[in-house]
Formats: sequence, structure tokens, C-alpha cells
Amino acid sequence: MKNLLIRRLLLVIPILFGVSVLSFLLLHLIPGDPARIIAGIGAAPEDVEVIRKEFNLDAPLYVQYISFITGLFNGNLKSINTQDAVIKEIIPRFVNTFQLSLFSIFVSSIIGITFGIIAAVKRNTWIDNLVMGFSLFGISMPIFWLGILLMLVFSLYLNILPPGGKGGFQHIILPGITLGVASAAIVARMTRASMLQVLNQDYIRTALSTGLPKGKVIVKYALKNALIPVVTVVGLQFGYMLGGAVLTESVFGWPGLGRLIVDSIFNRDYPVVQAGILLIAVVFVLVNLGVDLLYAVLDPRIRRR
Amino acid sequence: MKKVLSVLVVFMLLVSVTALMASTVRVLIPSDPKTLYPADMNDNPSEEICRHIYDGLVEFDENSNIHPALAKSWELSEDGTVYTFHLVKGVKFHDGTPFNAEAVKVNFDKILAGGLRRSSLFKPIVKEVRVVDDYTVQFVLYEPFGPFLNHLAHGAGLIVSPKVLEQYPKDEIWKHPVGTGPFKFVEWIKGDHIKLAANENYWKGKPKIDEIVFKIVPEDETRVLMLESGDAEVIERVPPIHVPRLQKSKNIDVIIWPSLTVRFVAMNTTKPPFNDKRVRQAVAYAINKDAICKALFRGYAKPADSVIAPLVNGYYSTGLYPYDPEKAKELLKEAGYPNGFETTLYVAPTYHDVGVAVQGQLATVGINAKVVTLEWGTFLDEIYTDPKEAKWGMFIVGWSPSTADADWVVRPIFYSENIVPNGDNHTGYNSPKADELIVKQMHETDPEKRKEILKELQQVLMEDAPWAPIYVQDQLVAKTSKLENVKVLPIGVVIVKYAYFK
Repeated sequence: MKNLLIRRLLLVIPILFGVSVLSFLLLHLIPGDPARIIAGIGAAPEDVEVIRKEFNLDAPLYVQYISFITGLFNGNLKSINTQDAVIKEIIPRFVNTFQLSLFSIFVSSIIGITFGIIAAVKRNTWIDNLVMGFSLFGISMPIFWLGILLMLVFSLYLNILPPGGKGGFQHIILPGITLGVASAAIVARMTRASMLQVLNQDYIRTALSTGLPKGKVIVKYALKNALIPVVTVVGLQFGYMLGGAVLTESVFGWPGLGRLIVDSIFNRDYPVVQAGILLIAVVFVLVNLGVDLLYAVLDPRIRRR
Repeated sequence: MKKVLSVLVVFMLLVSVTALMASTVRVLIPSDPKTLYPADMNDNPSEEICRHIYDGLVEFDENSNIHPALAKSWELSEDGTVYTFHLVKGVKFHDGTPFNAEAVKVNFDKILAGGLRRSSLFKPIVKEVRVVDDYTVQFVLYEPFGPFLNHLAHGAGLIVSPKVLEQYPKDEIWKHPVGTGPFKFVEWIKGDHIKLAANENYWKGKPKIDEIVFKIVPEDETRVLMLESGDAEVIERVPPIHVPRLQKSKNIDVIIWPSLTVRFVAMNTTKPPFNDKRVRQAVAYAINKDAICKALFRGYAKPADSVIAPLVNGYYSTGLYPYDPEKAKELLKEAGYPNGFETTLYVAPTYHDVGVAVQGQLATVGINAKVVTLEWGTFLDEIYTDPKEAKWGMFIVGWSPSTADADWVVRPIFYSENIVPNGDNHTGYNSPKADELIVKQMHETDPEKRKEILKELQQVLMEDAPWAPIYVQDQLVAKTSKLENVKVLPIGVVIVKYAYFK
């Protein structure tokens, strides 16, 4: 267990190095001069030059990469766009994204797992079809459509929830549901498939034949064994969400990481994009590590290995 | 009875809540400001917020006219190089620092030292700033400069507390936005909102609202919904499709006000076929500007007949070019292209629709333009390439003079010394006649004489047609009808500092 943890944590270092080099090169491959974009189309050439000098944008690539890495470690890295420290740009946005992701993954797990179990137990009945139909809908509907629809109903007609921005708990509900529903659909499908496999196994039939109540068998014996693939999917979904949900964030005016990074790409704000991608990579690796550890909790056989 | 009572209680609660909220104005803006240090900003959201925190020596009204602000009056020396400003007395910055001639000097010395994103507005023009006495300050120019007051009225001319400028390094000044304006800075939560509170001691009298919150909501539809659901008082950039519906609502007013941005087709005058004036005129005749305004903007745009917009100082209506495809074909034949030709039309995604419309209209006279849509940064790279080596034949973009003066269009765009890469003359347009008029208008300080020069210049530019101007778009702002006196400035900012609730 401890070995696994250490090995996985050590692996993070080469991954991050790779990610930093790749994202750096990709970003610099896109045509477009950050100084020109920031200065705007009406800017005098002197103004463009001011920005280019200030951020060392005319230096050779490897010099820019080294100054990016050193800036990252000593905290001197600054956004080209706002001139604020990159850390101060990214961390508050990440906290917002984290809140939204946590709520969404909660919504998605509750709906997804419940629907998945129901569909598996009532296999091939109209209930199953209904639940799977919902799941297909969840995967196919565009986020901005569902988001605007929810806003219309809950903010405009019923006027019980705020349509956008960040504030108290009620502000997180609509974006959280919007983001959660899409991933709930995936979780439901995975739960159904995995449950079906387990439900067909001998020990379940044995348990049922001994007269144990059906509900208890399903939740206690079947679900626990069916959870490993579900946890994997939920973990991956959570990882994706933590990378920022651009569409949801834009529709609901949620100041998250995704919007910041996309805006920064359009502005060619190299430091923010690179630092943001690195942060996402770290988080993704950590979430995956967390999922692996959860396996061990769920399955004693893995624990012993 | 109980039911009636509870309904009453809820109602009273609601009323008191609205009463508490009544003095906050929430303005929804589409993107985050970049900075709150006026001389270092070049985006509209920053300027809008700065114009509530700071005052300038002079300021714009909604017709781009210039009015006294912190300078109550001024005069210009006989030779046109020394402006003397008489300042308002007894004004204090939000941090208690007195406003005086020294404060003005500290602000402009910092700009003239260079290194700020707007230094170029003043550095080439102003030689020095002199303190005459506590409330008199002089700007000494290198040469007479016609649009100087427009440069002062620009956002970069807003005055920051000298204490802040002296205390903090350049890139931390924005964290301490202290001005003399009607609202004081409270907080900036990046990506979410900026909050300002009324300045009780404002020198023109206390504002009628207590608080302004500028909220960042990037999605157009969401801003409209938030206004309708009562979660905002003012929203910017309303999509044209919503305007007729919002206008019908009793609780909402739509403000439709012209911008300063002319959208145009630029043509590469250094290469065939566009090195022939007749071809460029043919393009201008072939574009049906009315149809574009109606079809793409539902009428919330006006056909442009000059290289500058009507609310820009110095505008002259040339009446060119009416839609005339027959005339266009004739001109093409004269120029030796009886069967038209093939070319490219570069656009950024924002102008893709306009590009396709223009493409269709040009096709009817035989010009086959391939629309090339590029992401904004890539697009800028292309148009900022020396026109002799550029790949584009035509491109579409907008140009807005942030000083609201014709000089900020004609000089960067059409002066031969500013041909890319030396400036913003993308088309490579090079005309001695235009050059002469551009220099002349720049140094003319008599407004009437200057107007005459600019009139002639606009006629020359439209006749030569390096640009075929298409339209000037309206700004669409919506507000709750309870809120009065919201102003939209043509430079692209909404002013709520004078607003009040009915």
C-alpha cells in the first residue's frame, strides 16, 4: 500500500515535465503574437513593443521555457494579460471549479448509481427503457441548451434560483445540476452494465435462495462488488470536471478555471495557460491515485497485493 | 385569515428586501477588465470601471463632445503649443490626498516616462507638464496638435492619486485604484465581479446610488435572462434578436446608441487587382450595405459612408458608395477585368457572417472571393504582415478611434509612414495628397479649419477606396425601467454614475 503510493507519486514528476514541455511547445506553435493581441488592433507599434519587452516575448524559446519554470518555483510568474501573479489568477478560479465539481460529482453519483441499479434490477422492462432513454438524453443534450432551459424554468418562471454568478449555495445548484446530469448519464450506464454482470453470478442466486430480502442482497452484496468500474468512471469524470467546464462556466457566469484557460488561450497569455494546464495535470494524476486507493478499500484482494 | 396574514408578511418582507437592494446597481459586462490603472489599459471593461472611479481633466458626453471635468477651463497659446488648464479647487482623492497641479504633473510624468500601455497617446506629443501654481497646470507640446483635448479625454488621461503612483511599482498600481471620482473601489473578485461604493464627499455632489457591482457574465443569453429575472439592473451587448421582445416589456428599456466602430473591407493596394483604384471602387459599389445592416443586424447598424463613424469628431458624410452593381461591372471592365477575378477575403470568426454576405454580393459582379476564416490571433498575424508579402487580397475588421477623433483613424491607417510593419496602414495605401492633408489636420488647432481639412481628406480617402466601409454598429444596452439616467458613450462604455432609481 505504502509502496504503491510512493511509486505513483514519483511517477508524477516525469509526467509533469512532459506535460509542461508539450503544453509549452503546442502553445508556441499556434500563430499569433501575444503582445499584438493584448495591445489590441488600434495600438501603436511602441505599445506593442512595451508588452513584448516586458514579458520577454522576443527571447528564444528555451529561454522562455526556463524563465517559465523558474518563475513557477519562485512565484514571479505574471499573467501577460492582467500583470497579476499567475498564482493569484489561477488558485481562486480553481477553488471555484473545485466547489462546482464536488457538487456536480455528488449529483452525478447519486442520480447515476440509483438509476443504474434500478435499470439493472428491472432489466428489459419499461422502467429500464425509460432510465436508459434518460441516459441517452443526458449524453446527447448540449450543456448550453440544458443550462438555459433550467434557467428559464427555475429563475425566470418560478424565480426560486439565481440564474448566474457566484454567491451563496443556491448559486451552485443550477450549474451543478447541468454539469452533473451529463456525467450522471455515463455513470448510470456503467452501473447498469456492472450490476448486470454481478447479478448473474452464483453467489447472488445463492443469497436470494436463502431467503435474504432482495433489497439487502442488491445493496450489500451486489452493489459493493459492482462498484469498482463505477468508481473508475466517477473518478475520471471528477478529473475532467476539475479541469474546468468551459460551457457550464460561461452559461452560468461561474468564474472557474476552464473559462480562464480558454480566455487565456485566445489572448495567448502563455504563463496562465501553461501553469493552468500543469495544475490540471497534477489534479488529474492525484484523482487517479485516489481512485486506485479506493479500489483497495473496496476490494480486499487488491489490498493484500 | 392566517393565510392572508402570512401572505402579507411575505409581501412585506419582499418589499423591505427590495428597498434594501434599491440603491445597488448591478451591471452585467461580458468580459473581465484587465487593469484598473487608466494609463495602462486598452480594453473597454477596464475603461468603463475606471470612468466611475476616476475623473479626467476633461470628459466625453454621449455625443463625443468634450466638457470640463477636473479642469474648469483652459486656453491655448497663440502658437498652438501651450495648453493652460485651470483646475477645480477643493477636490480630494479617495485617500484624502488633495487634487492639484502637482497631482496632474505626477500622473503625466509617469506616462511620458514610457513603458505604459498607453504612453504612446502622449509621449510623442507632449514635451513637458509644468506646474504654474497650485491650481494651474500647463501642457507644453512639441508641435501644435489639433485633437489634443480628445487625447486628454481618453481613458488614459484619468487622474490617479499621486500618493498611489509614488508608493507602488508600475505593475501594482492597479491594485490600488484611488481617484477623485463619484465611486470608490471596494473589491475585485477576478472572473466574478468588481464592487464600487458611492463617494460621499464627491466634489460634484454625492451620487444617488450607493453601490455599483459590475458582474462578469460572458454568455449573451444569460445576461438577458438575468435582467428579466431581476438579477441585474443593466446589461451590455444585448443580442439584436432579443431587442424587439425586450422593448415590449413594461419593466425594461433598451438603449440603442451608435458606436464609433466602422467595419470595412480593406483591400491590398500594393498588388493586382486591387492596385487599381477602379477595382476597389467596384468592390465598394458591389456591396449592398443596407441589406447587410438589415439581414445580419436586424437594423441595429447603419450603412457607413466615410472611413470614420458619425459620432467621431470631424466626420463628414460623403454619400459614397450607393449600391450599384451595374456601375461595379462597368468599372471592372474599364480596369481590364470584364470577367471578374479570383481573390481571398480574410475574416476572424466574429466577422464570418459579414464575410459570407460580402462574398455573395461580390459574386454577382464577377468577383470570386474565397472566405478564409482565421482565429483572432492568427488573423492579426496575417494583417500585420507587410502588404507586399501578405497573402490576403481583402479582409474585414472594425476600427474604433478610442479618442473619438478622426485623427486616430486617418493617421495610423492611411498615412504612408505607417504602412505595416511601421504602423496600422495594412492596405499599403500611399497617397501624397492624403499624406499632406493628414499632417495638416493634425497640426491645425482651429476646430472649424480642421473640419474643412478633414472633409477634403475623407473625400480623397473614399474616392481612392483602400477601404470599402460597410457599417457602423449600434450599441445595445438594456436596463430596468426603474433606473433612470444611464448613459452609453460612443467610445463603448456605459456610464451609471449619474443614475438614480425612480
